[in-house]
Amino acid sequence: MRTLAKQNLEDIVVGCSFLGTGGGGSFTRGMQRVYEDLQAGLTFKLMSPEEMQDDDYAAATYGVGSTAPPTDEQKQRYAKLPHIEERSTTAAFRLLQRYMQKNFVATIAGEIGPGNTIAAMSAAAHIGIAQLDADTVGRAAPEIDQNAVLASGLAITPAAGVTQYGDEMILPKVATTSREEDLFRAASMVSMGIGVADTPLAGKDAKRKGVLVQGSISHAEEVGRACRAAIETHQDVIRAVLQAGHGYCLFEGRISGFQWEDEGGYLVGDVDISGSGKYQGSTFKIAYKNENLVSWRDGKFSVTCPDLITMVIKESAKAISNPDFEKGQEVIVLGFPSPPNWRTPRGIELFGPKHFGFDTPYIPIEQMQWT
Amino acid sequence: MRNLSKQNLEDIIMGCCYLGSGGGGSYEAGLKRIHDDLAAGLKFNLMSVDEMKDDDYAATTYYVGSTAPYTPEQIERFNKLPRIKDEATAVAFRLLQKHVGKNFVAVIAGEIGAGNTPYALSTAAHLGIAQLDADTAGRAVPEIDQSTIFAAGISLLPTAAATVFGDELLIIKVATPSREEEFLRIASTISMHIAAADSALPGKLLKQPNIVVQGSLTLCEQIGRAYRVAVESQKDPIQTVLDASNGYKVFAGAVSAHDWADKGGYLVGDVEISGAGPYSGQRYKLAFKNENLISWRDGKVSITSPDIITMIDNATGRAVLNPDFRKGQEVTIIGIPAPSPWRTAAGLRVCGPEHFGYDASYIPIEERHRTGNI
Repeated sequence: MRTLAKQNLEDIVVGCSFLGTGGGGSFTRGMQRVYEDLQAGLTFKLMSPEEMQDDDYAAATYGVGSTAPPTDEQKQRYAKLPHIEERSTTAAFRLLQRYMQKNFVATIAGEIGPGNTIAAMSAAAHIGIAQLDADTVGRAAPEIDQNAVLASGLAITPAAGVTQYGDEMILPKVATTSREEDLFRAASMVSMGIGVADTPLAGKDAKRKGVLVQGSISHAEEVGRACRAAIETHQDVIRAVLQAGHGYCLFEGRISGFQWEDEGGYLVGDVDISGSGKYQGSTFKIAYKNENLVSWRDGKFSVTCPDLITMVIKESAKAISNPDFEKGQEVIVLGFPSPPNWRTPRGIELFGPKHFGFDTPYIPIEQMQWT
Repeated sequence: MRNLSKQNLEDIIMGCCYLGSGGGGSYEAGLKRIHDDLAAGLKFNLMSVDEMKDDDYAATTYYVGSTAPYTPEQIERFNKLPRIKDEATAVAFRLLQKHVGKNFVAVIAGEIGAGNTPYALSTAAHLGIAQLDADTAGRAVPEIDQSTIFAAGISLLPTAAATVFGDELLIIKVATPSREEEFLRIASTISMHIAAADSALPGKLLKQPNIVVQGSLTLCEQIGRAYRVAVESQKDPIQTVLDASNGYKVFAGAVSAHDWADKGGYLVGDVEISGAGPYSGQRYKLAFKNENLISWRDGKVSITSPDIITMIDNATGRAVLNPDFRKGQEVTIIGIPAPSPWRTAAGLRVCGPEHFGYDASYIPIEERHRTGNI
């Protein structure tokens, strides 16, 4: 277990931005949260799964928002309700702990992304426990299905939900995983949001290979540190990031076109890049659903999910969040191998290109032929 | 404790019609449910509150339905989900039992109604436990607030809920009592309907006065039997029902007009009757929100909730459930005294005429009858 300094946390946010594949929440919000929490005197602790006792527990905690704005009648009614003093995520974590009667020592991050990983770490800091050096995806991912714990055959229930008004509920079990999301989203619609704690994992399971993506937060920190060190010593930042993340440079060029729309709460779109330098004459395309999922080089499938595709601004070497790009912008496309959890038949079923409707088999990035 | 025969059960359901105050669910559905369960070999046992040990528990179960129609997209999603084989109310009850960790011996009925009381009986039979000879209303009621347990200031929580897909939900705490229904309703919108179990209470508490309406199923049975025996022996069933229920005949005539609509999932409307025989020249009017809540004779308040107002079809002697009346139908209106829990200040707050928005104060039907103010 170690306490994370401001610099460590900044490195984590930066590292997450490269591993967030265009999604994973806002970089600015992630940094803001770090500064706010440190200012408030909170402490961030990182604990490796190995440090957990077999019967200690860790769980994920996050907020679920309502997709529909409240009506005037609802607003009026909610204004009359009492408010709890602690955060609803903290209250949900404590409720899960109380319900399961276990010793909860850490929170689990729901994914690696600049906004969302920090939200999980901030929840841990508010609860006053450690953040586990692990998460359930190893990158950012669009759907609840892309959860390594589920892929390993374990359930993410029981789950606890607490509203800001102090309503408390437990889902001991659900018919299908997406029902948990459906039920909490329904509850959030009459509560202006709900704090959720789920995926309770015993130490013995957390340590087991293939359940969580282990070491993912230190990995993000290493990538972020490599980026910072390269900037400080005026070295090639992209090369440093690729080295730390065991990644590949996939393409370089200018953005020539893009389109996107909101599809049922997801940001769905694609972006076209026309090559420059050694890629002159070639084109590259990336399709995303919140996160970048598949890519094509000259019309032929290139790197696909679950491997990571990240676009960076050539000039600043900063990772681009979808859809914050503009026509004519000079970009470099990076690819990183996905965590081993997703490279199983079940993992590919849940996170491979076919799952998202792209008719191509998954070929690991290391096995791709580069031209 | 006694085992209920088919006849006992049919009497209970018939009796429920009279105490349903025009609501309480479908008589045919209630009867079919019991017949199906009997055909499946299930046993029905009735247990009086006094037979419970102090630390034995009983609880209510009920369904919360969505009133909004489902979109084709929702139906497609529902069709992809698994279905449980068990009765969802039984799953919810077991979940509550497991969570509370006590010995549950009986089901408490949520109300007295021809469709809804058999639901409770059926759940008890599916669980293999008894039906308590008690319910939380002593009549049929429109809103979740009209629970005698709630009126007594006792929390209904924890609540266990189950969907037909196999989702399980526990509501441990709510910011205000109405939030329980709010959560169940919103969950029902994504679940077709949802079964809930709540009001888990020990025998010690249930035996105290005005917590539940005790003996209400036996009363239904007596009323139902009175109807059946009268029909069998070619006597006037209305009179025997009045005798069995301590009720009052207040009006008779022909239905002259009616008006009703679906308002937010409630059947809201009124019906007018023009008097015949001794009531010739008078006009009577009933207003309902699912259940009949208030009546007027020539514009003057006659009976109000929580007292029970029931319309009877003269030709058959059977209770008319809303909105199964028709113009020209010859009917008799009877009033039955409300069970004692509703006649407390707390009971009237949630079940009196003011609660339903009527500018009338509650005067017990016996009092109205005695003073001719009916």
